[in-house]
Formats: sequence, structure tokens, C-alpha cells
Amino acid sequence: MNYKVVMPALGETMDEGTIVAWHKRPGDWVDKGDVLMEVMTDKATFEVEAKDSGYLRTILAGVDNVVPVGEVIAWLADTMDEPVDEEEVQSASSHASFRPSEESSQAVLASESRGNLADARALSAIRVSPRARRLLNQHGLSLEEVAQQFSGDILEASDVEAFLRAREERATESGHNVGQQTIKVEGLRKIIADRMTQAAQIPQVTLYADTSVETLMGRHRLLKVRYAEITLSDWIVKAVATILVKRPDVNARYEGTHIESYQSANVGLAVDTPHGLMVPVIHHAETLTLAEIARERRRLIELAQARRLGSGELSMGTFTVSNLGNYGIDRFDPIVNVPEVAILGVGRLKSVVVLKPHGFLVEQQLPLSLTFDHRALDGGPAATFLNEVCRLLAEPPEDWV
Amino acid sequence: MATTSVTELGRVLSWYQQMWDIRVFEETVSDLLGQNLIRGASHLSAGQEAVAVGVMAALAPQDLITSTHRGHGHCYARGMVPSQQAAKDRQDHLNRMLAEVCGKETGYCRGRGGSMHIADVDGGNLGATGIVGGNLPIAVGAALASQLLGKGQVVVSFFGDGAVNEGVFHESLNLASIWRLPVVFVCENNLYAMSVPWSYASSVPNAADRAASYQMPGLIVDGMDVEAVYEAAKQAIDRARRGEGPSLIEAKTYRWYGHSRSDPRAYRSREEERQWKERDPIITLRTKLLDRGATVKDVDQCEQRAREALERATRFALYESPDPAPEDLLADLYAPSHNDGGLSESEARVKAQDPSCRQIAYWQAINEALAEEMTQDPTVILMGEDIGVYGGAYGATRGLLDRFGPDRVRDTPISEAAIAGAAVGAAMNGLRPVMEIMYVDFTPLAMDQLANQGAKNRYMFGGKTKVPMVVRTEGGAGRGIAAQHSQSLEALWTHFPGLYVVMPSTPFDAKGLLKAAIRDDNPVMFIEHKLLYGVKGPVPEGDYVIPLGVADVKREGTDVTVITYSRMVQKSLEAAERLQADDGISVEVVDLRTLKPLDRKAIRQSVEKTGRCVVVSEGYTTSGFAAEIMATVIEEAFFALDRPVVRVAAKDVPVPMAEPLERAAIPQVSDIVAAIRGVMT
Repeated sequence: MNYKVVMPALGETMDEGTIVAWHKRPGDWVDKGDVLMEVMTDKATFEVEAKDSGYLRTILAGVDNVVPVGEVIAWLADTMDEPVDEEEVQSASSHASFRPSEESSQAVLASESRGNLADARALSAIRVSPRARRLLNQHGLSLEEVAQQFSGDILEASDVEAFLRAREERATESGHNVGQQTIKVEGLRKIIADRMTQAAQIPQVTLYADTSVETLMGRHRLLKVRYAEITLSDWIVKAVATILVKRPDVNARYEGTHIESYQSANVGLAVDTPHGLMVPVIHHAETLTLAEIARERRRLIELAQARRLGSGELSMGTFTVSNLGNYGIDRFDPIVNVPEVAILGVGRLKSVVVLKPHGFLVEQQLPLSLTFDHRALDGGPAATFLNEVCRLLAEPPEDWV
Repeated sequence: MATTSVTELGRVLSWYQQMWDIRVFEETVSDLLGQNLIRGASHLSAGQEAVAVGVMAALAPQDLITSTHRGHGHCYARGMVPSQQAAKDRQDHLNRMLAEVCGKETGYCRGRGGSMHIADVDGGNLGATGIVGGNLPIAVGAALASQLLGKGQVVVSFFGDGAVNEGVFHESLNLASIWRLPVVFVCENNLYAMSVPWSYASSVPNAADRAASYQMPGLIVDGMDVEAVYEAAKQAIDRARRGEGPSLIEAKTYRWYGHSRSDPRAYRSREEERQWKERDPIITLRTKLLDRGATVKDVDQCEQRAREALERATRFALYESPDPAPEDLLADLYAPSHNDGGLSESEARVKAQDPSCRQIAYWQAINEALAEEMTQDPTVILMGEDIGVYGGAYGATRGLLDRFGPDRVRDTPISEAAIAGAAVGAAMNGLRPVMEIMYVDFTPLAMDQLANQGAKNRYMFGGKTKVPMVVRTEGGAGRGIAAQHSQSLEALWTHFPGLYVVMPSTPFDAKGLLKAAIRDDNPVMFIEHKLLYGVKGPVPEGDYVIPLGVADVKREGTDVTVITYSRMVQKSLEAAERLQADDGISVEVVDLRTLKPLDRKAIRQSVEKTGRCVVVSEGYTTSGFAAEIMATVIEEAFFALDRPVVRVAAKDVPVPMAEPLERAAIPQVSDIVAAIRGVMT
């Protein structure tokens, strides 16, 4: 019996995914639940588990192939010798919607003369010599990436060496100075680059406001005795979520032909990780206490650091908070996390001298910047939203604690 | 029949003691076997004590024996012969014997041999063998060494009635007779070869009758009468010591126990057993001793002393002796290598590379190696078929008879087993024989002697002996002499632990390796190639040796490794030339030279370099040595491989006579070229 492996939908906005790695080779036995491959979506890279058990018979989409959701990318079968559904295989492998990602398109151009390339055929057709395998391991290379530039049937050490030489040459060509390092734009970096480019094309405006957090910080210090994990970010998320549920015009996503408003605040947090920027979402933040928000935030950050965020944790954000205060940044203009409508930037806490009815006082203030998509929202409503957030942070309700 | 003109009472009383010691020893072993405290097979000699004790009583201290699978009595009694040094301590002797039977480190063979291979080489016992008749030619060889080296030893070879029907019996008696060797053949005829009665198995009534064929005395003696045995043995031993040649003694005897512990003795009647037991050699001798004035106390304390000694021996063997350590498993399998001078290979190679170096043929290189070794070591002798006047079937020994005389260059009858066994025995007793088997196709005729005795004796006997001998033979196809004169049977010989196998491909290698083989203290199978004898190459004059176990890169290359040996080196080099010229493929040719010990490092280094490997051998494909090389490549260099290892070997077919068929049967240059191209594309 044969089982299709299709490109899964790993998020509501996902139309296609890029195969980043295969964890199994053709001929391997795969148990249901084994990690079969890694797929990169517009949000993150996911480890995809097998839904059936069987021998991995044919891989139709190699590494770096971009595959529409629902397309067959591999076949599992109960045995190694039973025929897999040839028609399906053929129609799938000839499917025009499979396209190599940008880098491998270049590889195709560079080596077109070599004929049938690995990405256009099953990797199972390639046999790897032990010597080549040792070399792959020594250089931390995957068969898939080398196979992209290989047209033969047996991958030998000399082929791996040729790959390494070519890679080095490319690096040398692109680097003009000694010490210059070339990093391929791929994986998460590619996602970030694409998303930022997309975001930069929309009309957006940033509003600034500083809010006093004297009261808040006093409470915060008391609260920290009991809940050590709570940070200023959690107060901000709580405040934003509280306002958002009253402001469906801001708690929304701009979907081109329509704007979708949400009743629940799913607040995304911009998190810096060794792999790049990620935005895990605290769902229904308005229903959580500060301590609950803190716990969820910590959990998400740990997952993000380990690159183990699931699609649920990355999807359905309605608003984003980006806090660079900890990095010593006074103030900045965040870019909207499309298709969300607005994003709040948080700068460094500062002490300012203010004139009060009784005279000058030193007060702790938090600089906030709200960037909004002017297609979905106008300046006035945006300003009132920011103002409401500021007020809530200046006088947080006692029952938050 | 011999008469009893005896000998003072005390001496006979000591024989009586020895017979009791043997009897109780066998009873003890039987008892321990029954309790499963001894594993394996033990063949008990109770009933036959008078033969062992009577014969040994006639030995001089320097004399030697060879024994059989039923050898406890021989071992014990040989140990009781007064030696030139201090007499062996009886208790210690019994301890070490029983410890061996129990497989203990303190045993005579450190537990490697056990009952069937008990030996005490230093004590004049060249060992027991588990092969019926296996030790007959070894005794002949030991006697040859005694004769040539003037050692004055007589060698007594014990065997049973079963051995008399082995071919090697006839070969051995004949060889001993024509060479007038100081050897006494003692047949312990206990009437059954395991279960088959002598009366059924033999065409003549007595084993001694067979002596007539070999023109030696054939004495029949009552094996239940120790004095009669002594008298007969003394006659034969004295005759041998006088240089009058061998004798055959047949001692009619009977074993009390079955062949082994699993023998229900269904082939003989209880009545027959009872009749023989009435003639128990111990009871018979007891009566005689009492008649001659020994006291009952003197006589009876012999049994008592035997029982006490065996109790102590049992305690020693079972409870005071360590088991051999598994980490010592391989210890003493091979005698250590040593270098006895001469130029090193690299020094000789420098000379050979000088354009002025003389060119001589392969046969001459071998001839020269033999002559040089015979000159510098008087213990080196040659023996084989047609090696004397004829100069060897392929001329390798021509001229040596004239130079070294018939004592040291010995033509032999066509008796491959006896030649080989004699070489083993001679090697164990001080010579360095270089024996020749005309064709490697004939080596199976000597297989027991080489594989079961020569290869294993050192190990089975706990490292207490060495077998420094060389078997020169030649193999290979190409002369149209068909299936029984064209084989490459090296795989047979690499299979047995204890043997080295050398197969040189050039005159230079042949000389240096043969000299190393002769100097080595292990048995070496030295296989030449019939089509190489005429091949010339540079060989420096004088003494140089090439160490065993070191391969030689005959041609350096970078693309593919060819691992080969013997004549296939030449063919592989031709293939390499052709591929370089036609395809630009750079082939490295590794000549193993020695198949055992195998130079695994050279294999690894070359395959690590090239990543491709073709193995070429003239031996049959199935279970051939090429398969061993392939396995070694996988073990040593799997991760260096870019392609599967490929072999080019002889087809699994008897080598045919007709030329087109012969060429098709064995690897040709074109086959090697095709195989190399196969792994390059």
C-alpha cells in the first residue's frame, strides 16, 4: 500500500512551503510520527512528521523546492518493491507548480549543461559512495544540497570536492575584502527579508507618546517579589490587550480587499533569536493575568530560541509589540507586521523632570511608538488608541495584580 | 617372542609403580569426565600400560617419542625416563599432565592441547596427535634430524592398529627404511580402530607383517607383559642406535575403556573383555614380583602411592591451577620473527636500481637464496621429488646436489605426506628443512601433515616447540597442463592458523623472501609461479632479506588501487600501462608478496589514497584469496571507497588444457583493464 506525503498547511496564510531538509532518505523506514522533513513557511521552519508508516520510496520535491500546499512531495509504501502510484508520481513530478527556490534557480542556470538535475528527479536515484559520505559529514554538508549541482548516478568524493571548490569560488567572487563573509539569504533570513520588503511597501505612519509609569513601576516592584518572571513587557502586553479588545479597528488584519477585525487580542512579541527575528503570539492575552502572560511569554521565547515554535504559536496574531528598551534604544519606528494593522514599539525607560502643579518632579517615563497601516486606519483613531494605552499604563487597574 | 632375562628387582618394581600411576591416572580422568569436570575427549589407555612403560624403559635420556590420541601413558612413562639433568619429579609430572587434561594454564601445553595433544617437547615427547597415523612421518623427520646432526637420538613412534591402514604409515616406513633412520615404530594393536576390528580391517593377520614390505624387522610382542615389551624395544632401539635402521614392533594389547567416553563398546563382547582383563599387565607383573621375592608391602604400596599422587594431582589441577586467560588466546601461535643480518630490503633495492645491477631469472634467484642459506646455516636441508640430479621440476635446485651432497639435498620417493611430515619432525628436532612439493596441486596430499601437525604443533603444545620449515611449491596456469597442474591453491593454505604464505612476483622479491622464510621459525608455504621462473630482473649479489608480511607498491598511481600478488602482478602492471596510455587512468599496483601475514596497512594506505579498488588473483573466485582481500579492504578502508570493490579471479572451473579455454579461465590483462574501467566510470 502507498501513502502520499503532501505539503501540509502549516498556518492559515500558508499557500506554499519550501523544503529545507529531508530527515529520511529514500529507502529508509519511516514510523508514523517520525520527523520526515523540514518545511519553511512564510513564518517559520517546521519539522513535519510522517502521518503514515512505510518505506520512503520516492522524494518528489528536493531541498529548496517550493511546493504548493496539498501537492504530493513524497511517497511512502509498505514494502520496498511494490509499485508506487506511477501516475501520481509522474503527474506530481511534472507539476509546473514545483519550482526551485531562488538560489537553486541560479544553480540551475549555472549548470544547465549538466542535464538532469537532482531537484528534478528523485534523490533515491543517487547512490553515495562511502568516501563521499565521509566527506559530506566532515564538511557538514547534506546530500540534498550537493545533489543540487550533481547530475550523475553515483556521488563520489570528487563530486563533493567539486561542490566545495565551487562554493569556495562563489564565496571568493562575491567577497571583495579579506575577511568578508558571505551568508546565503535562505531559511528564516529569507522569510524576514521577504516580509520586511512587503511591509516596507505599505503606507505607514508612526506616532510617538511617552507615558508615565511611576505608579506601574511601584506596583511592579511589589509584584516581582511574588512573580519574579514578570517584566515590563508583560505590563505592556496586558495594557495593549485590554485596549485592543475595545478597539476592533486596531485589532485587525488588512487582507487587501477587506479588513478583518478581531474580538480577542492575540498579541505578537518580536523576539530576537540566534536564527533571526521571530514573532510568537500570546493568544487571548486580554483573558490572562500578568503572571500568566509572563509565563506564556517565557515559554514562547524559549521555544523561539530553540527554533521549536509550532504553527499555532506563530499564527493569528492581531497586533505586535516590539520592545527594544532592553537593548538601550531610546525610541524607534517599528515596521508593521503585515497583515496586522498596527505595531507598538517600546523604547528605554527614562527619568524626566516634569512640571506638576506642586512643582518639578522626576518621573519615570516609557517612550512608545505606534506604527499603523494607513490603508486600514487613520491618524485620529490611531492616536486615540496610543493615548488610551498610555493612560492605562500610567494608571493600571489594581485588579491586574 | 622376546624372553625375560631380567634385570634387577628394583627396576621392575619401578615399572610396576609406573603402570599403577598410569592406571590410576586413567581412572582419575574417567572419574572426572564422568563428573563433567573435564571437557572434550579423553582416550584412556588403561590396559595398555605395559607397552608405554616397557618401551620407555629401553630409551636413553636423549631419545624422542611421538604419541597418539591415547597418549597419557606415553607421556607419563617418557617423563619417567631418567634424564641427563635431574630426574623429573613424579608428582610434578602427574600434576602437569592432569592439569593439561583439565585445560589449565599449569598444564604441559598451557591448556591449548588437552588430552589429545599432550606433549612435553623438552622432555623428549614430541606430542600426541588427534589424527590417526599423523605422527609417523614426524618421527621419521625427527630421526632424520638426529642422523644428520649426529644427535644419537632414537625416535620411537607410537600408533594404533588403525594407523597401519593409513597411507602415511606406508610412506613413513618406506622413507625411514630407505634412509636407514634411527626410528622404532611401535604399533599398539588393541584390536579395534575405534569399533572396526583389526581382523576385518587388515589383509594380513599381524601389523608386524607389514614390515616385510619395507625390509625392516617386524617384531610381535605380548603387550600385556612389560618385560617382553622392554626386551623387544631394547632390541629395536639398540639396532636403530647402531645405525642399522628402523624396526616395527607390534604389541598385542587391549584397552579397558571404550574408544572414548561416548563409546558403549557394542562391537566387542563382555566375555572378550573379561578374558583380556584376566591378563591385566599389572596383575601379571605383581605375581611375578612376588615370585621373585618382592614383599607384599613393597608391591601393594605402589598402588597406594599412585592413588595418593593422583589425589594430589587432582587437587592441583582442579583447584590450584588457573584457567588460561582469554587475552592470551593468540600467544605462541607464531614464533617471534627475528632478523639474522644481511642487507635490509631498502639497501638491496638501491643496489638493484643501479643500472649496472645484474639481471637474473626468478629460478636463479631462488637457487641462489637456497645456496646462500645452505652455506651459512648447516641445518638447512632440501628434500623433495626430483630436486637432486634432475634439479627440480622447474630447475630451481639445479647444481645444489653437487654443491651440498645427497645428505642435504635429498631426493624423495613420491610420498608427499611423508615428505611434509618428515619436514615437520626434522624442524622440531633442529633442522631447517626446505621441502619441495612439485605442484601446489599436490599439496593437498600433504595437507594433514602441514595443516594439522606442522601449522598447529607449536600452538597445541603451548608454545613449547617451533617448526621452522619452508614448503617450496609452485602453481598457476598458462602451460596447458590442465586441471591438476595449473591451480592456484593459496587460499587453502592461508586458511590454517600457524602457517605463513608467501608468493613472490619478481626475482628480487623471490630471493629476499625465500631467505627470510628459511630463517623464520614458523612453517612457511612458499608458492612460486611456473610462468615466472624464466622472468628476469635485477637482483643484487649477496645476502639480503625481505621481511615477511610487507607488501610492495610495484607502481604508484592515484586513481585506482589494484591489489594482487604472484604472476598477476605482471598482468596488472601491463593493464596499468595500457590504461595510462589509452585512458589516462593512473593505476596503483600493490603487490602483497606475503598473503599471511597480510600487510593490512599497505592495503589501507593505497585505498585511502585512490578510493577505488580492484583485486586480482589467479585463484578460483569462490572462497579465493581475492575474497579475503576484499573483506580486508572493507574492514580497513570502507569509508575511503568511492565504488564497490571488484575482483578479477579465475573462473570456478577446473583449468582446461586447450589454450582458448585456459585463457578464458584465468584473468587476462584485458579482464583487468575492463574491471578497472568499470570502477572508473
